[in-house]
Amino acid sequence: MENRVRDWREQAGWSQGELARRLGVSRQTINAVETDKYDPSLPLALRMAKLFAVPVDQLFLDAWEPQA
Amino acid sequence: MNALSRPADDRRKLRKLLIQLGLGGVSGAAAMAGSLFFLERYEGLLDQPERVVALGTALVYGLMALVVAAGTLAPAFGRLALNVEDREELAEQRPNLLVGAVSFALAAVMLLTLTLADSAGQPGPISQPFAAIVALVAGVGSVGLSIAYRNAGDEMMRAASREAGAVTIGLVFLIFGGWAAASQLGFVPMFAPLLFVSGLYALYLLAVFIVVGRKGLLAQR
Repeated sequence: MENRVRDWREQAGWSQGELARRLGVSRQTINAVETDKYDPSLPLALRMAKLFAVPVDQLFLDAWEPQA
Repeated sequence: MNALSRPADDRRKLRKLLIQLGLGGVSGAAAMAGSLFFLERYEGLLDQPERVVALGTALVYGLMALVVAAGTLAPAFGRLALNVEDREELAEQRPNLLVGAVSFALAAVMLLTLTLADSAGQPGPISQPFAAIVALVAGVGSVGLSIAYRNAGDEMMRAASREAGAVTIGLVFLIFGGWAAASQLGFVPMFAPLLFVSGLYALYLLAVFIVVGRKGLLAQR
């Protein structure tokens, strides 16, 4: 899933290591999320949104639309 | 990263990749050649293909244990041999990497013991009762530590571990299931128990590489 984690992290002025430390995950996980290789769990996605103080849908982008 | 530093970073990654490939290739070939040379003294031992496969698998696990342990304990080597960005990341990962290294080493001990053990009708330099005890302790220890390794990891590592298990099962169905089915129909002889055991370890390793590759964890950093 496409995401804006790298943009928000850089805007916050944090390295991948700093974000990993704040979220309690490994740097490899942050790297994999930012390169769209790994979709985080719902709890981790919510923590990321809380940390950057943005709604989840501004962090993770989903093109899916419900059928009429 | 700015545009000026990118070529330098690419060169650093390429150098690291070449060192890793060279280290793996040379040490693997040397270990296999050395082991075969040493085991030639035991007549008939290397005539059984399953023992050679088990030996090769044991050496792969043993070398991985050695590289991970050495890389973890010697950061200068670890930055070259392991896929970490810097010393700080290596320090963060050290406890878990050491658990993984011991788990690999125990798997190698188990496979090596079975390779060298006396078995029904096939003599070997290690007695059956001794081999049974060592293989049991090392096998259970390896599985126990691999569970501890998984539990100590973060959510992506746990997800990767689950996926690797699922891929392994698929490969086992395909390869050993297919082989056994063909054997049942009389097309091929049934595989030896030692080939099945070492095959499980080899397929798990293959599955891990497939999964971590998919997650981009094999990309040089």
